Amino acid sequence: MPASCGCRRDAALTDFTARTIRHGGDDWLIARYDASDPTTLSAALQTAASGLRDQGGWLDIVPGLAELCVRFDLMKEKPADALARFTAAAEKISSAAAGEGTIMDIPVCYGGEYGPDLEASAEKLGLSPDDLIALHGGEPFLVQMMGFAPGFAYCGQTPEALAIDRLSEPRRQVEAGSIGIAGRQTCLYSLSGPGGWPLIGRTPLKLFDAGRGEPFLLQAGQQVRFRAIDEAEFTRLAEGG
Amino acid sequence: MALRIEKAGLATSLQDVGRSGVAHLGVPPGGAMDCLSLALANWLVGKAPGATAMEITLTGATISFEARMAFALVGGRADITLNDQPVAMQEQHIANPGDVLEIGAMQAGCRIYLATSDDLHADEVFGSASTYAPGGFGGHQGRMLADGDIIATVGREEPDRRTAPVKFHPFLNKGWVLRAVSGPEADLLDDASREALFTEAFRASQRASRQGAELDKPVLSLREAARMQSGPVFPGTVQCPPSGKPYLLMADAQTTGGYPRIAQVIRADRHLMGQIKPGDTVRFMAIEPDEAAQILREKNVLYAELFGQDIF
Repeated sequence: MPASCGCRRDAALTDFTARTIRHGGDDWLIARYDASDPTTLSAALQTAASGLRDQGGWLDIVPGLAELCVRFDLMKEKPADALARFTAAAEKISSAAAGEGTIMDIPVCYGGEYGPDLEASAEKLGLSPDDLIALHGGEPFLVQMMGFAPGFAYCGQTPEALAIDRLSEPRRQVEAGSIGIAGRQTCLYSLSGPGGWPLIGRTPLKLFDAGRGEPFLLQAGQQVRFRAIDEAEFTRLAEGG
Repeated sequence: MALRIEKAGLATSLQDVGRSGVAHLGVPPGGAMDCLSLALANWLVGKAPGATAMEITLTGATISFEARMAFALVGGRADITLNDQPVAMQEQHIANPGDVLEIGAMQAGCRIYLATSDDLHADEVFGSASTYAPGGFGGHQGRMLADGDIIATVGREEPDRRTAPVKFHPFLNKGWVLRAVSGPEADLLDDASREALFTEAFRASQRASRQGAELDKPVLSLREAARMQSGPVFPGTVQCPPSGKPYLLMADAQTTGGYPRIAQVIRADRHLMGQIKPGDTVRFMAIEPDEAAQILREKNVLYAELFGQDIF
């Protein structure tokens, strides 16, 4: 099902049929899908994941970008039974009507020390830094997957014009809140640490705080839109909490 | 009342059995790298198998007691002294205020668990007291222990004297056999490497942590420079990066990874991964999920005789 990135999806449900469903390990299962329309597929994977959560009986339910994994209790359920139960839920999945939920505003200070790879990335992509920022901050993106680190979000899919390779040498230190781009995705680093995505900016929002009532700012399945802010606003927002 | 960390060593942290159900938020399970040694150490001091204990890695550590309590050490083999007097592993001992426990470097295995009859104070986050240092939460201030740290303890009644039958002692080796199920991208290995994965002995490199262990030779090769998107991974997943050096993911591994998942160490054998020492060899033995389920049941039944519950 061909679809261009960033297009509005209509309210009709889109079905995806699993290409394979199998054991990923002794106690986890994986269903893989064709990702010709990654954004709609992501929405379908989130819908399927919440269905599995409602069903219960799974130790972990982890949607990927074009796959869905579940971990089951090997002491309580036979592998064949778990596979049958998962197959029934994952064989055919549907995206719910998307685009209706609220879109979270993510303020980003682009370039400079906040986005040390902005200029080099723009040059590589044949864009001006301003064009890159405009493309990144234009359409809302879906949080497709949480992974890598607590609260780290993979969002997409970004326009083809922003598709860039990861850094050949990962950075030893990426500041929390950093925004990276790679392939057809943009990511938000929740913690400081090593990382390999070219960095174009940073948000003053705290993506993960173990001590906060709700530790995670973002959840898979929600939409975000990036908004350019200047350094003064970054400082003001960072200080304001 | 407290324990004082005189010398923290390479990587000492507070751990219990870890977290479950938070992988989709990017939070790994964490917890003791060797749940059997943790369980036995806890049993020896009269505690539940999953109680919080101290995990000590490779180089050892020195700890002093500021209160009287029972303690036990289980895991890797090292020279251990209490006030310069040798102390046996896998036994219950009593420490008095001012006593100094010195745990030497591991001669075999990689991690020792120090369990105490008094409770160790640790921050509980997402249902577990386990330290997850990359995320800065759990355990003692969300980090690995440092020289001079004071771990507050809560006094409990001294346990009965107990000794564990030898058959329940963990089994140490320098050549490990881990039973594993073929992974979802095993077909991205070339034919020779698919064969090698389950026949060769791999060497554990120096690149080892609570996040994973690199096996640096022999080197495997992928059919093509397979670029894949990041997908979910779990402790025990064996990934094959472009270097061809298999990477065995452990308790603190990130929850998604972008390299082919070529195998998965079975649940029943994952506790062994925590004792792999750099330089040890690792062999993978191919089995099917049904056999893995049977092995897990049998292993849990065997140890439930001592622990009264499933520990794997």
